[in-house]
Amino acid sequence: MEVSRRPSGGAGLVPTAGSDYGAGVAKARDERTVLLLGELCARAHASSPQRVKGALSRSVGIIAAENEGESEVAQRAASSSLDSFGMEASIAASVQRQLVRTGKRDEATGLPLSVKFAELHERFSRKGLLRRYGSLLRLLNQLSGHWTDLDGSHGPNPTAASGAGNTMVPFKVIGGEGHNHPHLPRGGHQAERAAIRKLKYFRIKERDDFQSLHERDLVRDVLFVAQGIDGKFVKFSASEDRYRVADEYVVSAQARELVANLCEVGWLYRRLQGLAEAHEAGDGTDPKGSTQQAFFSAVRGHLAHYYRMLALVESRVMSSSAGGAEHGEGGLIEREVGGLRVSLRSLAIMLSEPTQQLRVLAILCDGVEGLKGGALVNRLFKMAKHGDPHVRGLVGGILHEVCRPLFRMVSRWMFEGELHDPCGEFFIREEEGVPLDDLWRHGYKLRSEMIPSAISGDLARTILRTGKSINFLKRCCEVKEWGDFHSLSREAEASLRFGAGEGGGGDAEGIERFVAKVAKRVDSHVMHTLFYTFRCGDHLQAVKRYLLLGQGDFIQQLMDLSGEDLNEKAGTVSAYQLGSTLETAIRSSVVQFDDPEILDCLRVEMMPHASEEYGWDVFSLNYVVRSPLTCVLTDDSMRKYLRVFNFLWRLKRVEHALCQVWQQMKPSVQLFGGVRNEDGENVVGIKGEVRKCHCVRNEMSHFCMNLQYYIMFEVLEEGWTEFKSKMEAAEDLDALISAHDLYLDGVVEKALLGERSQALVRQLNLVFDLIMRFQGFSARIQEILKEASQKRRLRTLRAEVETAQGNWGVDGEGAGELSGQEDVDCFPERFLYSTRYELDAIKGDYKVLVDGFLKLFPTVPHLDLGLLEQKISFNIS
Amino acid sequence: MVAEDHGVGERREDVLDVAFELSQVLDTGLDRETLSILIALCENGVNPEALALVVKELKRESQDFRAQEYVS
Repeated sequence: MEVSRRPSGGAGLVPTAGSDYGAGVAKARDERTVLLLGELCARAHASSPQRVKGALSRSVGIIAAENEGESEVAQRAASSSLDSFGMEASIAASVQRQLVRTGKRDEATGLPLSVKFAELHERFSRKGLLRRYGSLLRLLNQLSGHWTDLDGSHGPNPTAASGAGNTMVPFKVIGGEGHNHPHLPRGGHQAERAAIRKLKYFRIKERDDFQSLHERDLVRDVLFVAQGIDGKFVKFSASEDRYRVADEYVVSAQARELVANLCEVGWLYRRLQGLAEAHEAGDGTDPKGSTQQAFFSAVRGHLAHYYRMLALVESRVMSSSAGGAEHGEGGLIEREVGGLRVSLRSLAIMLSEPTQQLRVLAILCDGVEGLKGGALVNRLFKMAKHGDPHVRGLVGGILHEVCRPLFRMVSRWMFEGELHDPCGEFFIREEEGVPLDDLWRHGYKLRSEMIPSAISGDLARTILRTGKSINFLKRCCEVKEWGDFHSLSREAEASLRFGAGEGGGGDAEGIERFVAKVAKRVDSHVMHTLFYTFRCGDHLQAVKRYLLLGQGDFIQQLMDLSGEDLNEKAGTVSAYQLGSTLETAIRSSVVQFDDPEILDCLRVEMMPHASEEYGWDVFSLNYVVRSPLTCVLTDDSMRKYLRVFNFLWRLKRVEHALCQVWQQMKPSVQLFGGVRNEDGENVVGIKGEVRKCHCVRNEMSHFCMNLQYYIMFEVLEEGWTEFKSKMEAAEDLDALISAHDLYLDGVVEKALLGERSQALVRQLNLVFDLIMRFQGFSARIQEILKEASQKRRLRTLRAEVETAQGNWGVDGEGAGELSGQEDVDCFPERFLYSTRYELDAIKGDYKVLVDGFLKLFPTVPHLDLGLLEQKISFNIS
Repeated sequence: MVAEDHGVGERREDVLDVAFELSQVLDTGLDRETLSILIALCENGVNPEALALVVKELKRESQDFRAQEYVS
């Protein structure tokens, strides 16, 4: 029907529906193309019709050959308005440039040709007169006499065509029009086929000379590059550290840039792959931490995912080109390929998301370089705080993976007390070579730099304590069972995770709740074990009673019994004997009803001593506790206890000495009561000294009593009451230990043994020394008085005996004794003086010392000594 | 229907005019009829480069032919 219609003025515009590519339509289009070509040939060879047929077959051959080359990269998308517009614009721009360069002018109007071209171009493109205006423009451009004339030749000149193909038609490589299904005219002649082959060869050769690339090649190369492999044309340039199209290939600037952009994904992939492999291989020196492993496995997971995606894209590309090859045999002019065609641009769209992912991964890899454990998690946390939800999700996912081994460590630590951390990633570390007694205090430490930011310091400490408690139970208390955690461990799985999605902070509350739950259980178990199995409370009380002299009768007994032994030089005192004295003291006081287990802990100890020291100075009691309790009653605190004990013991001894003075003086007063008055002033004289002696003793005793009162009631009992309430309220061992330490430090400080009250204690020691001097002095006086009174009594007895015998008066042989009798009651004047002098000296010294002691009170404003001061100074003034 | 046909015809003419002008600006040496056939071919989806080649080939052939005729 159409064949019969000869073309008149204008060729018919083909009203093909852009979307309809049915085989029938394609066939019709092929036929129409052949028909139109026939007309073209007929016009060209109007003068010799016999040639038309040959020309037609050759033309068909050329077109078929060209199509074969082009159609594979040709894309359906190319026919979209955007694409063709872009192509038109670029061709028009290049034509315009060329016209300007030629500088020719229109003969009729005198305007430059370029201006005219611009006008016409605008008319075409604005009105949208032709559907394939771009094609027409390309055709006219190729046929244009301006540039074929330039080199003075006609026909397909390679150099000219090369110029046109590369600079003037930049989009040649990007693809042509949508081509239709190929259709082979079965009835072609042999000659035609030969012509086609020849032309085809010619065309292909021509293209090779240009070395301009087809989009198809670039797409394939980009796909290779995306897998980190060098393509045929796109290669990795180490000097520039990027992929690029090799210089010898001619590609339009746009395509080149597009390829370069697309190749970023390859660069990233290559880098990530390299890092992951390097990590896997390891360099031997650096042990690979589990968090790092988790991180890289997550990265590898993402890479595998990316690879899958890439395979999908590749299969699409392959299927489109394979489809092309299948139909290629039959292709004549146009061909349509089943499935989606993949162009550089569609590839760019497909790869954009993975590129972004890989980019984030690369940033992460760079960021966590050399980090491990908590530090790595922290870095990821920081990076997870990102505005882009995709990035947040990606990093969050990795974070989750990385946290998993960390949480495994946490739960293992909290449930089993086991620390499996060969690479030092966990935020708790075990100290090497810590003795069992120090396990609680120094056995485990926090690594502050490894604590994930989602875990607060308190939480980390709780976690530390929980695991430590379990270890403590296991190793120190030798407890095998510390609660059933099977139900909890399942809960752990659920709650031990960071939901990085919610602003990085994650599900910290859930973790906190969970940790608190486990910690409470373990803590209560520890406290229960300590207080019921190991009787911590009883022991602490016992320490207070024995070492802090809370048990008065026992101490009194001990002092009475050991007094004589302790008066010896330190070297001669036997600890063994003192031990048995202790036993006796225990048996003879109320404490004998105490638990033998507690009494067993009580020991006598002799401190290292100098040769000049007496037993009193080196004697001390000790309370020896065994393993689990040593965490509370550490060596350090025991030393503090001993210091307090020594001080108290000294005080007690001074008091005891004053009591002894009293005991000695009391009978002497009675003795003097019987002294006859007629013996004169001398007796009265010594009587005055004795009275003065009593006064001094009384003052000293008052001082000691008040000091003792202060220490017992204002220091020890108060501190104990406070500590006891804290001890009962303590929920975990740490609280108990800190309460105990606080109590002990308070006692030491308030008992004037602290750093700041050293001057006071020195002064106090001087007072004590003075009192001991006084004791010696009074003992001497008592001795003399006793002797005197004994002599007097002897004389009286003798006189009575004489009287009974009837001998009144004194006999002759007693003449010598008479003078002695005089001596008995009459102390020599020198003795009286020296006694009076020494007593006055003691009294004066004592006053000075106590005054000095009181004056030092303001130097320790942190202690509440008001009452003590009042009570002591009350008597002095 | 008729009016539309007429409109289309007018547009064709119009298009051909503009295209012809363009072809002259570019100095292609094509006449109106050839150009209209070529436009039709382009619209039919033929590769323009191939078409250009065909046109050049044809031109060369006819020139050769004419030259032969002239010689003979």
